[in-house]
Amino acid sequence: MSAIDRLLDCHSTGTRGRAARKGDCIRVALAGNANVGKSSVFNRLTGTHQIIGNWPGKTVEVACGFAEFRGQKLEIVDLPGIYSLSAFSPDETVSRDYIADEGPDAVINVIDASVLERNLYFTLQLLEMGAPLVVCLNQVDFAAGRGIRIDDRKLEALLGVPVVPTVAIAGRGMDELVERTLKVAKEGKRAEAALWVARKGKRARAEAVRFAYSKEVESKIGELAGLIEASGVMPTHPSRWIAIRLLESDSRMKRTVGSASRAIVERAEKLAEEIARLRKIPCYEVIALERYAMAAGIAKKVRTSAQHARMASERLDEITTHREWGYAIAACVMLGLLLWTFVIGNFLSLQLSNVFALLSPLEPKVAGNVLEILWNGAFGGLVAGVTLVIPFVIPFYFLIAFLEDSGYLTRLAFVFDSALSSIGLHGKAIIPLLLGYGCSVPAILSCRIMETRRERLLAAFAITLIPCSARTIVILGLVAAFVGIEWALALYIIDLVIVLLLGRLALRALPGKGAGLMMEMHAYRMPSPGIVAKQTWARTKSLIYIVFPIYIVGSALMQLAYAAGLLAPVNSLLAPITVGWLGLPEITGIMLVFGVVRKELTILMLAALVGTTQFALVLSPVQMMVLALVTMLYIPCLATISALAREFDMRTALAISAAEVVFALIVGGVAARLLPLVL
Amino acid sequence: MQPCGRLLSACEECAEAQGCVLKDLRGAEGTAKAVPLSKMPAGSGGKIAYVKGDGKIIRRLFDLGLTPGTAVAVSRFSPFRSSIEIFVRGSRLALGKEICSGIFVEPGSSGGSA
Repeated sequence: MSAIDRLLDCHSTGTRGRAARKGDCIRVALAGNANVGKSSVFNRLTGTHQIIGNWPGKTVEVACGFAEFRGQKLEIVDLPGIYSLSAFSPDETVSRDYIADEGPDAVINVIDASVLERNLYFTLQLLEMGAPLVVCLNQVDFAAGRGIRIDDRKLEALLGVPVVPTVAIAGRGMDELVERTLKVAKEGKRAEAALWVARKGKRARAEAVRFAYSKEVESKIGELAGLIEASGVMPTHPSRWIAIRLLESDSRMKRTVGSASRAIVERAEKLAEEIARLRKIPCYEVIALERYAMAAGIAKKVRTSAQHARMASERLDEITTHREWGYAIAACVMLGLLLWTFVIGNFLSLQLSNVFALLSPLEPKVAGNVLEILWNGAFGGLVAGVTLVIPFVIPFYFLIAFLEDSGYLTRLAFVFDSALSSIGLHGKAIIPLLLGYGCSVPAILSCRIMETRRERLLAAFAITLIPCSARTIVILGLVAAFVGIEWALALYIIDLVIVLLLGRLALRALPGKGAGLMMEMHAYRMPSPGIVAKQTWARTKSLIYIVFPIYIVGSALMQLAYAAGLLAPVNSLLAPITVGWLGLPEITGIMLVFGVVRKELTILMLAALVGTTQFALVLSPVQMMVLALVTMLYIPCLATISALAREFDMRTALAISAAEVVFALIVGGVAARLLPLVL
Repeated sequence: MQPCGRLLSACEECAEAQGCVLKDLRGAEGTAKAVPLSKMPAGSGGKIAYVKGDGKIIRRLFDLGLTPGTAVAVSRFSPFRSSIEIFVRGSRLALGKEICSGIFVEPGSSGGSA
């Protein structure tokens, strides 16, 4: 079976049709809160045999891997972090749907030993659902460092499902975890096979209730479960679980059940209202409250806490979120990141270009043989992609992933929350915005971590204004090289001001309320190389399937169009704007048109058209600044427009592009008039 | 006793929506000395009395363990106080100011025991 087939197999749409599934590959899902070490468990279990794919019909990425244990094949899915079955973001919806609909043979619930209560809340939901569960009690070493000890035997006895203590990052406990998971999966399969024969459409009674809600809630659950059982709705899931979800007024469950029996949903609403009246808070709050009380009760029985010395991570934490020091450190980190991009990236990029130049000329070719022009354009596009991705984007994203896994980015999000809330976002948006300094495309895709479409759109809009590495090359090649490094830095600062200003304007255009920051801040830890590498790749690969093709095809076609004379009228057509309003030479018209394909193509074209890289000969410092400003702002490149269209829709992508063209011209024109006063 | 967490302009509306007795709600709000989390000084703590705000957000807060009766402590404010870091149920959460202004706490001695 090819890797792709297996990926598809992994995402098979069978609705709990275990009997129908071929082969004896056991399907295991990893589920749990964010930052509990799920990915470490996943990496440990699957090694390098993993594929990251898009969920069919969804934009959330799910990693799928394979393992073999004593001759038994396992297919393991690493689901996005989830706190509750009442999913809050697109990520959580994917996790919930997978567990509820795909019917994995076993679910490994990874929980963080030092945050037991919140993790057990989700465990309890999984138990209610009747998922074939194994609990992986992870990071027991870290908890011990904080003076927390968990009696895992006792927890196992209380929960009634296997509990395996692990330190996934060091590989401790993994064999036992797999062994017990296999046992659960096989028992589940056997039980199901037996049921299949025995029941003939009759539902298996949920086993004795281990964790009960208060008497008044239980009586409602009982009544509703009876109705559900009698009606035969969703026979594959425990009726008690369906009843609880209905009382929690889960809209998805209401739809599913409602399509079969309207009466049950109406009864559930009535019962929920009764509970609300009795307890004076909405029914879902009652259930959450009581479920948390159960989780706290279990945690209390199995946990012993001792006094402990303050850990280094806690001291580090204090400094990095300090009122003044927090900013100072954040500024140093950001500056370090940018310097890395500037200095090392530029150096590496040059070396790489030189290597490629040995193979074929890199300068855009706009005259001669058609095939030669096409080849030159396509090759130039490929080289541009490679020389941007390898030296700039990959090291930059690697550092970001490193900071992310260490826990620092959540502190950065906390420190920058106020700045970001002024443009309708919240702290978490710092991650997509930072990624934007590498390349807008992965940055826009990563906006999925924001909760609402409106926030995703606001963040994506801000990203299109942030200078990516291609625009950095323009700024470096024109302004830093010929006007001065301080003017290049000034451009970055002007850009930040513009992001804030336009962000506020966009906020006016998109009225509404954001969710606000709700983020768990996990303790600092040593980043794991495997996870950092995987995250880096996950973000870089969209460059290969979105950016590269557009670069290659776009550059080839553009050069051909130019050579064929189709673009000849452009310069004179745009002259009123370029010459009249922006004060630039006429040839910049065509440069800016080429720049829509790739931003750095503007200066490559300039070099090709004037036959020198000594731009000072053809442009004055003011003209360079204006050109750099306009290039930075005037329109998202084609790849970015396509990313916007993918994530939102074509109309939105075009509206953003049009607005930015107008805005860039205004800024450029104003700059052309003001800059001569200071430059 | 917790007053309702719905986004309604008046208690009457809420009472109508829930069909509950108005004086119960008024009584509860009158007696509670609860203050919003956003108004508590860093380092202080207490127990959550009730949570108000948008239904979807309340649901998430409950799922995160901010249920009435839970001990919380304010660890620190972000620069310019747009968000607050709190300690609750053994872990730390960063919450936006607006969300915190809907979380009412009865100030007490310690908060958020591990």
